[in-house]
Amino acid sequence: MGGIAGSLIRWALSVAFDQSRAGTLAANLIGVALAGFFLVLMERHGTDALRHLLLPGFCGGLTTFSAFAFQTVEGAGGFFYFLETLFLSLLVVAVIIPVSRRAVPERA
Amino acid sequence: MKALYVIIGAGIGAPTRYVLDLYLRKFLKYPYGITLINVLGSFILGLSIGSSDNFHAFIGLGFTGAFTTWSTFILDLYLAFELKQYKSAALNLLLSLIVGIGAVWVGIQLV
Repeated sequence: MGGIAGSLIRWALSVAFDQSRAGTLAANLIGVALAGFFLVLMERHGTDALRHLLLPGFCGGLTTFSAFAFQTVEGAGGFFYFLETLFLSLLVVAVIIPVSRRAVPERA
Repeated sequence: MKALYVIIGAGIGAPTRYVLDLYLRKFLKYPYGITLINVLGSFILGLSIGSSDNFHAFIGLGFTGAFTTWSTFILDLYLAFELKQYKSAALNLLLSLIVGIGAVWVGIQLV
């Protein structure tokens, strides 16, 4: 269920940006940010059904590797898109996880 | 109508990824399950290029889009780095990107 919702939003983003690279980039970055936060939530509070729906479901469906790989190969400027996606994703995760760990209180 | 194809494809792709990753994690010390899934999904997407609009919605946007994942890949990289498993992180990064992008290309060439 989470995977379906995530995929539909990814599709909507690619339509909204009217350019598939920008849509995929937006979906992947939003997905990485959310996934980082949910991961910290699971570290602190354990795993339950809702968090399963959110992390491997929604974030997994929202983000995609295959479209990224295809858009890197297809058309001009692929190498820049490749570096842009990778660099921004790593930057997002390196910021979100430490910040989330501070924001979400540890439970005894 | 296109939305329905995306829904069906994603409805198959996401659970398949989850079950396959869970199964592979039993055998692998490092999370290379997602690496394999991403390579496989990229190859399938490459094969589907040039097909009809609805089939592309089903396979490209739905199935391989949900089957492969970017968020887990990035989280795996970050966590391996945090655990100081630099070798495993570097291997995952290089394998995923080189073989994954190569797989799409091979898929496109085959059809």
